[in-house]
Amino acid sequence: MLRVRIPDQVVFRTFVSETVVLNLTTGRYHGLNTTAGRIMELFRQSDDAGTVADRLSAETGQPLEVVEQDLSQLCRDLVERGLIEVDGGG
Amino acid sequence: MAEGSGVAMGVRYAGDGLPGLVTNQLRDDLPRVQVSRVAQVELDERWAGTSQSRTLFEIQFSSGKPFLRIEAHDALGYRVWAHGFGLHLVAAGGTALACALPEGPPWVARRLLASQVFPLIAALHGREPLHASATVVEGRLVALAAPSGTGKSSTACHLIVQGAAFFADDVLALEIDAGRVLAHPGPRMTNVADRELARLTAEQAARLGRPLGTGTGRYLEPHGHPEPRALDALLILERTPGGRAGVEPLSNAGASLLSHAAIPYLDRPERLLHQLDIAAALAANVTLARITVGADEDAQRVARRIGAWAQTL
Repeated sequence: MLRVRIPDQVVFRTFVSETVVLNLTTGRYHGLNTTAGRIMELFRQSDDAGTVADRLSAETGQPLEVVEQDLSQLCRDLVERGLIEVDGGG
Repeated sequence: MAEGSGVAMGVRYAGDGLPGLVTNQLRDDLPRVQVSRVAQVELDERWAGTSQSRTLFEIQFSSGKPFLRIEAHDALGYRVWAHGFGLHLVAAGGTALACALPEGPPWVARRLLASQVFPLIAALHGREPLHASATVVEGRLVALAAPSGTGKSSTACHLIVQGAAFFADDVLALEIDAGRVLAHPGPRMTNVADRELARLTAEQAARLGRPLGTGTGRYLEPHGHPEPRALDALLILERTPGGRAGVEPLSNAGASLLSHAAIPYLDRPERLLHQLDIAAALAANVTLARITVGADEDAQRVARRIGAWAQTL
């Protein structure tokens, strides 16, 4: 089970058409589109990637396997940027 | 109260006087800074003893010599110096300011105070200084954010000539107050390009305020002592060769607002978080828009466009 955690030093605020994420340790801002911002919001509510994928699939009407692929790619990107931490099997 | 004591950017200055402060809003609940005027040699001695200062920001002459330098030291605070414009030491928490003002008329000292020292101290006290001018247009406080040299001061000048009231030039300090974005006026000084003044009659020019002196443009002391008030609208001013589009809603509000922060070198985590919170509060509570103007579009015309837009707010 993939567990996703937003580190304490990472904060974000949602705007109309974007989400701005701030890593307080590095001092860098990161801009995310509305979908990625929604995913950050869902990870704040649940650390279970499967649960987040289910919610996204329900919200967007996209097939679950498509959402899981996109979510996996986004998580890799967010991990590289230091905005989330991931534990568990791939 | 010593002559010149007062308020700038939501911070109250007491002790030795400073030029250009607003003096009709000396509220006791404002953060307070104790000011002392000392000789530059004394400030140099205080700072010379530090071995671990670091340069945060520097602007150089074309010759490579420094024109403006801001340094930090964990215990002593901040050293703000500009060639010919004075030297200031700001305590780490922003509670004390030691100044060696430059020789010459007092308005010369206002330039470094207004552009760097007051914004730094405001940021240390939880205000967010935005690189923007602001005027009260049609009864609404409208801020105009843009990089230096884009024409925000000149545009504000023409807005005042057209009937608006001065609020702040170049730097506007913002604060979240009971869910709204409260704007604090800056020091009473504005800088207008000579070519813009040349467009005005003597009567129109007199509306801008009392002439202080000439530097890179004309420095003026605007009439009145503005009081803090809620910000109604923020316009991002952009010049492009094919400009002259209308005023449009700001789509990428977060990135745009953060890119116009003044005092970018102050990157303590609590300040960065505060910046983000201010940007979010602006997006939630203030009308945000972008005005794209042509590269050669004069400030008078831009001011007319903004005045017409403000009537729709």
